[in-house]
Amino acid sequence: MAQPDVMQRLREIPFSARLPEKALTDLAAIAEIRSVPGGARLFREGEPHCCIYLLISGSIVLEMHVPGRGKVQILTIGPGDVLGWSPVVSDTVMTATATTLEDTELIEIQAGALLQLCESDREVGYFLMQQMAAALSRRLVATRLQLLDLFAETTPQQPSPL
Amino acid sequence: MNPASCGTPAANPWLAFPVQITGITDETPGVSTYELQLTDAEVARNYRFQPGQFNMLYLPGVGEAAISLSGQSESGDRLRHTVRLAGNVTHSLAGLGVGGRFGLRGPFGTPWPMEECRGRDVVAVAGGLGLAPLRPAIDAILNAPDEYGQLTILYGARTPEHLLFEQVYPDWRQNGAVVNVTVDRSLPGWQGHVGVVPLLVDRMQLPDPENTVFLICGPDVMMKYTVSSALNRGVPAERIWINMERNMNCAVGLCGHCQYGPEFICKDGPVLRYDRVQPMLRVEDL
Repeated sequence: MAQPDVMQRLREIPFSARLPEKALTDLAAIAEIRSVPGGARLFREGEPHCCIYLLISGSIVLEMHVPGRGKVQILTIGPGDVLGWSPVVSDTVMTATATTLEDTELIEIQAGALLQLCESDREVGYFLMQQMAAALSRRLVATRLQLLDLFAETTPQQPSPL
Repeated sequence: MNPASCGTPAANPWLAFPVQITGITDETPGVSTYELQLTDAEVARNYRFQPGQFNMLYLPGVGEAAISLSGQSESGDRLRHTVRLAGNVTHSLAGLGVGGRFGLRGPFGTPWPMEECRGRDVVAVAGGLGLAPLRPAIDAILNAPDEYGQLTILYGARTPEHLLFEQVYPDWRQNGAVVNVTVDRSLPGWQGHVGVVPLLVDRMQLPDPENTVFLICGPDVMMKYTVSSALNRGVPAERIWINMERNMNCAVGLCGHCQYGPEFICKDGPVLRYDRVQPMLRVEDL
């Protein structure tokens, strides 16, 4: 049985806002709203984790450990973002450590239950995985933009035509 | 835009006026803001610029560089240019110091659409040094809060060390602006946001996208994806303005250095409405 405002929250988040009513209802049944204080660790790099999150408010930093440099912040997750998809797209361990930067409200979904939902109702699974692919695509583009180092100082490579 | 219509003191746009450096502020590595005084009192009295316009800074024996105005002193009699060391002119400028003199002609180019911003929410999105040409627009909005809706400033820099005008963010917030800052690469001790600027557009509060004006200035690729995020949020293409500063040389549309399709950026830009230049943005190497 879904919490009363889970449905409403899911409707407000881009990831789930356009899901068909059936998919939304099924998703709400396995989702839970959580309030997490700042400084809390949601999951740790290199360890398995059971949940995926949709952020309602607050912010979360993702860090990766680099030998010799320690923890390196790689991305800040904000409202509307999907976090922690590793247990849904594979059964491997988490690729980064996630820590809340402030009081944060999020929707927590058990990855196993989500996969079971996708298996049992392929139509719902299609919609959910479509949203997951879109979220991954956005994250990939953002990562590419970071890699391009757009604000690095450059000098024009083409000589003046005059 | 005809420079004369923007208050250029000279009937002859080729004529450079002497200026003196009255102050230098080091901003970030390789970037400084120069405060300049037009030495001719009458020229100084008649000089007017609009947010988004640029001047040609003329270093005798070296050359000229097009540099956007990043503001003026509170008394209004001194102009500010924020300059990154890049070529011969900017290196020579850096060698002058306070009291140094050189030439200036301008202002040139199209301004930010302040009239269209009136009564609407405004989102100023900047990347890197792109915050400099936006600062006069930000100041104009914050100086007349009753005339504009909510101002949101989204700014991205390479690292926390490269954040421009960091000392004024508290004032901007104090005056009602929402200021969200991000860096591409974090440094030890950084507690702020990490990630690219378009992500901030994806996440921001946008209660009335159809009546929100976006003013964007930064590297082309950053502007392209920022525009994409704004369009996805329901902002109409005709409410999105971008600053296409590039290669400006004569400033009056004669030399062709800055030609961009049918436009000369120096006189038809640098501020252009997105829907008018959208087809050209897709042309590689233009």
